[in-house]
Amino acid sequence: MHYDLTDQYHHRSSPIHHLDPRVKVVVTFLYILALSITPEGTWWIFGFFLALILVAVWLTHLGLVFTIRRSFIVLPFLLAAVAVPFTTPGSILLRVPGLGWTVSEPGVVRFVSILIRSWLAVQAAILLTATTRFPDLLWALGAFRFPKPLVSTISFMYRYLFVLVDEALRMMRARAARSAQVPGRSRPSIRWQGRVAGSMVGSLFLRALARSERVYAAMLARGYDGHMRSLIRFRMTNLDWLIFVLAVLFLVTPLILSLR
Amino acid sequence: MSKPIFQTKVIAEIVVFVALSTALSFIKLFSLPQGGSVTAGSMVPILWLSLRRGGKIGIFACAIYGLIQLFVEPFLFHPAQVLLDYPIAFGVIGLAGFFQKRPFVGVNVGILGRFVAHFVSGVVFFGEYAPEGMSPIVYSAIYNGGYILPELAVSIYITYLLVETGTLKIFL
Repeated sequence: MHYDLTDQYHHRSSPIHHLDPRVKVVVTFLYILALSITPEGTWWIFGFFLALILVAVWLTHLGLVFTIRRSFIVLPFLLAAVAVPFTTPGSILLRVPGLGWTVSEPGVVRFVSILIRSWLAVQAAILLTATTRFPDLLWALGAFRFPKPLVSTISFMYRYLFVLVDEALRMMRARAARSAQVPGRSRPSIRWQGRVAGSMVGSLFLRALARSERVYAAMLARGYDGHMRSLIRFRMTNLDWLIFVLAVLFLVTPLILSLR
Repeated sequence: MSKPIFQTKVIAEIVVFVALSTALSFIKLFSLPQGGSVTAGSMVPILWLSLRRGGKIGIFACAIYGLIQLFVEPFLFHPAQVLLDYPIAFGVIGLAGFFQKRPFVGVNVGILGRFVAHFVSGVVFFGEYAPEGMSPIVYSAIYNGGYILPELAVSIYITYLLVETGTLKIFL
């Protein structure tokens, strides 16, 4: 395997790791929902939600650097919101010398709110995947009565994804090797490259189809009857219930207070 | 007795072709800041599966692909936006399966459906990002069209090759 698609899970012996995956999924969803409905500029609520994440990071023993480094994934998306401080109407905070652009106060508030919301939501998602094994996550989806074909398809797909990514990358490498530019000679024409890419895709499809036949045969050989059988079993403990109730309280209370 | 929609063989094909789409989606030709990118024909495997197996299975497989994209490259702004930009936007690609006899119409309908879902999401949730004086509708159309049109061109070309070589009906 050459492509790093390995599980985001990081094993530690922490209370968060041992929580029932259903609790972690629901709490993460509620956290993101609460963030999305938090009014812009209510900094104390954002601060409180940040504190919740920091406490969770501390409890997981993953280290602050771990989640912060991974949360940089959100940065490219935020480039899209860079124009917001300049385009939102409102009282002018400052003027950019030479360009004549103005930065408005509501624009800055909106931009910073978007930044904090996105960053915290990604942190929550990172914590969920870092503390929960992928099969446990799927088990939780099944427990929430997600359609069985959906859960079993995702579960199977997860196993074959690595293989197919590898296959696609091998073919891309082969194509790059055949499209090298020889000094003194012109580059291969677009038409030639298109033909090579077309043959490559056709070949990839046939290989994938042949693989699906093998997967089908393997499923039949193992007696697959549409139900995924799993040894994973979780039972809600008192600690799970306690964490769930506390999380709901901590997420709902500040929002209610902000509306008063 | 009628056969169930999700026979084991169909599940095996969905598994492999959604995985293949996901694999191709990692090969990006270019990416845009608010999500969206031109890939090496990542929609073709799921379009092909839809054309091969029909609309219902197509929509199911494409919605799964959307959920996988949500895991792989999440851009979470609002729960409704997540639904619109992931399971719904990708799920409608499966509409191509209702045009099995006219694959090119199917490809256009599927990708146009995806464009509409992203377009609506863009107008409703990202309209505020539009530069001053530009309508959110125009902004969303330009932004989403910017990566969906090249994807459409790549998908049509590859689908043409697959139809010409008869790969669509192989092993059926």
